[in-house]
Amino acid sequence: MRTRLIIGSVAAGLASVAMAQAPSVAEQVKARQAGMKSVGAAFKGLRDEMSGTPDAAAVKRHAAVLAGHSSKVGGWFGASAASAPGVKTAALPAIWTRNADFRKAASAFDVEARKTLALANAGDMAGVGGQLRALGGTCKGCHDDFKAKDD
Amino acid sequence: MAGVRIALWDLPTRIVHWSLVVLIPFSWWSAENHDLERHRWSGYAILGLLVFRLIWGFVGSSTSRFASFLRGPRAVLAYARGSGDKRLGHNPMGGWSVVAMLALLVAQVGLGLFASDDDGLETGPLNHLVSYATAETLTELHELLFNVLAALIALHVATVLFYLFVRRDNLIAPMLGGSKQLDAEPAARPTMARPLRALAVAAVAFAIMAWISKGGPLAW
Repeated sequence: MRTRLIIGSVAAGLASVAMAQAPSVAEQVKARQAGMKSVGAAFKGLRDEMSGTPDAAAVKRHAAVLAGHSSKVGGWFGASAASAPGVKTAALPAIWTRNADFRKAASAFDVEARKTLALANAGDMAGVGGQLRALGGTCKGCHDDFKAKDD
Repeated sequence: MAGVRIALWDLPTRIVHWSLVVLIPFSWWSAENHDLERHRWSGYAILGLLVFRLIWGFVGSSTSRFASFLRGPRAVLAYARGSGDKRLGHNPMGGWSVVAMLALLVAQVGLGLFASDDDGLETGPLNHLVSYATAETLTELHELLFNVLAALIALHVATVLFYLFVRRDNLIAPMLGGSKQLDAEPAARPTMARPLRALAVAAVAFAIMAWISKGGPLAW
């Protein structure tokens, strides 16, 4: 009886873990869109700082947000989200049909984001400024092939 | 052959008009092709032309002044019924159409100043003054408003063609050459502003455009 109870609760526990690990496609899309928005906002934050006299603390903060997200991008577009019927998303099927290329483009962003964070942490504001094109270029490098245009 | 030839549209007004004819389609084309650097330059040029035209609407030649062609609802209705007075320059309906197009262009260029592309690489010069979310909204409006502008331009072109083929009144030739052939001397000829005044206004417009293109208020 006791064993059955334990097995039962373990099973229930496992089921809830499994459920927590498998959010619906709609939830995944929502989460990655929120992630992308904070990436966009952080990149804008960096650019805005560089357009004037940069505040080193703010630059560090934005760079940390970017580097905090950059490693997750590949995971945001997992195999379980390949098909998203009825969900509004700009993610193109190419993400999953050419997944190796997509992951390469996403990790290019990760590499540049980490470089940016290292420069920001070192207080090298000129370095961060010089890094922006390369960093933004990796956004474009992925969006060009894997994100739908609005037009 | 009797009749007189009078100066109707001054050179600056015609330059503004035909420059917009070239730049508005170019702006659309460059945006569609994601050539946002050229899109931005085109936008700056339109911005300068708009600032010039707005000032010119107060100090330019008589036919270019807002006060001369913006008429009340009674005049507009009378003209729509075909019984309005025959003044030179914009008719009472056309005057409002001009102002509507100018206002839309001001809004469109204004939105573009704050806009950003998807990658945050290409932005309008005032993008730094607003948040990421605000810029996103303004960019969407920038894309939407173009459709309204295009519709108004289509109406404008259709109307000009209507005058050309149905009313047998060629409005295009005076906008090109500046003068119009009349059957008889009008009660009053339009008064043309001096070229020097146009140059002064152009200098002011250029300065304002340059200031905004550098990021506006505090960047200098």
